[in-house]
Amino acid sequence: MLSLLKNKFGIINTIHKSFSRYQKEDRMFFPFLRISLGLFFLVHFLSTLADFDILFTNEGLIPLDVISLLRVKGIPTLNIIIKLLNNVGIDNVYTIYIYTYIICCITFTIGLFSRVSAIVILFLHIILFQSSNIYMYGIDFFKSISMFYCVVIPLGSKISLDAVLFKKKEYNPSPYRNLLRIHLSIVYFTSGLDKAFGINWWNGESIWKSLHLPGFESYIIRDYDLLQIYPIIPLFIGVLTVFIEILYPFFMWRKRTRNYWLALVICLHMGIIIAMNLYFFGAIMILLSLSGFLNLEEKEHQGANSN
Amino acid sequence: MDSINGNLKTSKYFFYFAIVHILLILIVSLTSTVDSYEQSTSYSENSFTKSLIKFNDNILSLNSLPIIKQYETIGGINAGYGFFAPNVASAYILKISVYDKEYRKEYKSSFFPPFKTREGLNRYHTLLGYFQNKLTIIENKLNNKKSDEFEESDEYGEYLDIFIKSIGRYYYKEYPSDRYRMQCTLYLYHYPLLQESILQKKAPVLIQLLKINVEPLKK
Repeated sequence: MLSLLKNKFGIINTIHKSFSRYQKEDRMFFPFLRISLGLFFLVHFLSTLADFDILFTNEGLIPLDVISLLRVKGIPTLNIIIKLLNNVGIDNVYTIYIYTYIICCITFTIGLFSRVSAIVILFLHIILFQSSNIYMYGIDFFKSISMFYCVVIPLGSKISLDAVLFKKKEYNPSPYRNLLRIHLSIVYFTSGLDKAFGINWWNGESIWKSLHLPGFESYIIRDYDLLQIYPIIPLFIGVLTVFIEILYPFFMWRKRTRNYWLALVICLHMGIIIAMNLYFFGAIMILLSLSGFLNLEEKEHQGANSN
Repeated sequence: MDSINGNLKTSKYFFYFAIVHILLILIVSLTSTVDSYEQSTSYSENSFTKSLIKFNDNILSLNSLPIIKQYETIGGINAGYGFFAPNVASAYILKISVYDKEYRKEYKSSFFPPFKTREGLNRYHTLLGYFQNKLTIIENKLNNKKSDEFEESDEYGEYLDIFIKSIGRYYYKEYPSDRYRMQCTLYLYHYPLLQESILQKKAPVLIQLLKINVEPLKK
C-alpha cells in the first residue's frame, strides 16, 4: 500500500517537474500574451462601440432587463450594476463603463498594474456577457478564457512598466504556457471530434452550408459556383478541417511538426475570416495558438553574444 | 514559492490549480461531445449509449452546482467547443414589416435592424440562432410531444416571443405608434444542399414559422 502511494506521488512529482520545467522558447510568453491580448480587447471593443446602444442598453433592440433573465445566477450583470450606481447618484454608468474598459486595455497592454487591469477587464466583460448573453458567440467565450488566464498568470513580470517601476522578479513562464497549451489542445481536439460525428463534414455539405449562411456572406468571394462544378473541393476542405482540429494536440506538441501545423491552423482561421467575415473570432484563435506554440525565445543581445 | 529554475520564480500552487482547472475543462468538453454524438447521425441507441447519456446527465448536474457553475462562467469554460458540430445549424431570418395602424398597407420591410458594425450584425445572427428552439417547440406541439428540457418548454417559447416583440417595438422609435404598426415574421432559411445545387435547384427557400403583430407598449 505504502509503495503504491509512493509510486502515485512519484508520478505526480514527475508530471509536476515536467509541467514546470523551464523552456527557453517560452521566455517571451508573458509580454507576447499581454500585449497581443491587450490590443485585441481594445480593438474589438472599439469596433463594436458604434452598436453599443442597440446591443447592450435598456433602450436597445431587446432591453437588458429582458435578456438578463437567462443569466447565470450569482454573477452580477451590467443592469444590476447600473441600478446600484444609480441608487448612489451616479447616472452616466455607460460612459464610465466605456472609458474604464478602454483605459484598462491600455494600462494592461503597457503592463501598468497588469493584474488589476486584467481583473477589471474580466469583470467588465463578464457583466456585459451576463446581461446580454443571447448576443454572445464563440469569441466571447475565448475572451473570458484568455482574460481569466491574464488574471491568473503574472503577465506583468517581464517587459512591462510593473517590472520597471516595482522591480518585480521574473516568473518562470513555462507552467503557465503549458496550461494554455493543454487547454487549446482540448479545444481543437473536441471541436474536431464533435465535427467528425456529423456525416455532413465528410461529404462537403457542412462547408457548403457554412458558406451560404445568411449574414455571413463573404465580402471577398462573391459566388461559389466552382464548388458545384468540383464538389470534391468542399469535401476536401471539410475533411481537412476535421483532421487539422483532431490532430492539433499530436502535431503541435512535437517540436519538429509544430510550425507546419501552426501554419495549417492559421490557414484554417484565415479561411474562416475570408469566407465568413468572422474577423475577430479568427484573430483571437490565431493569437491564442501563436501565444501557446510559437517559438518565443528571447534573442540574445549583441554584447552577450560576443562575450 | 520555490526557485527551481535559476532566477525565475515558480509558484508551487499553480500546478494544483492547473490540475483542477483542466479537469473541469475536460468534464465540460466531454459532456458537449456526448451531446454532439447524441445529435449526430452516427448515434445508435443501445445499452452502452443509454448509460453514456445517463452518465452525461449526471455530470451535467455536477456542473450546475453553485460555485462550480460560477467559476466555469468566469473562466469561460462553461461551454464545449463543438463549433458548427456535429452539423452546421439551420439559419433563421426575422422580417420586420412596417404597416399602417390597421395592418392593411405595408410601407417597408427589413431583414436587419440598423446595425452599424459587422460585429453588431454577427451578434444579431447569434440571437437568431436561439430560434432553433422555437422550431423544436412548434414541432413538439404539432406532434403532441412533451419535452423535459426547459429550452423546449412552452415557457421558453413565450420568452422567445418576447424577444421578437422587443425587436418589433424597437422600430416604434422611428415609426411612431400613432400612425404605424409592426409585424414580425420568423423564417427558417433553407439553402439548397450541395447535391441539389449540382442539379441546378439554386434558389434558397424561406419557410415561415410564425407571424406576430407587435402592438406598442401601453404608456
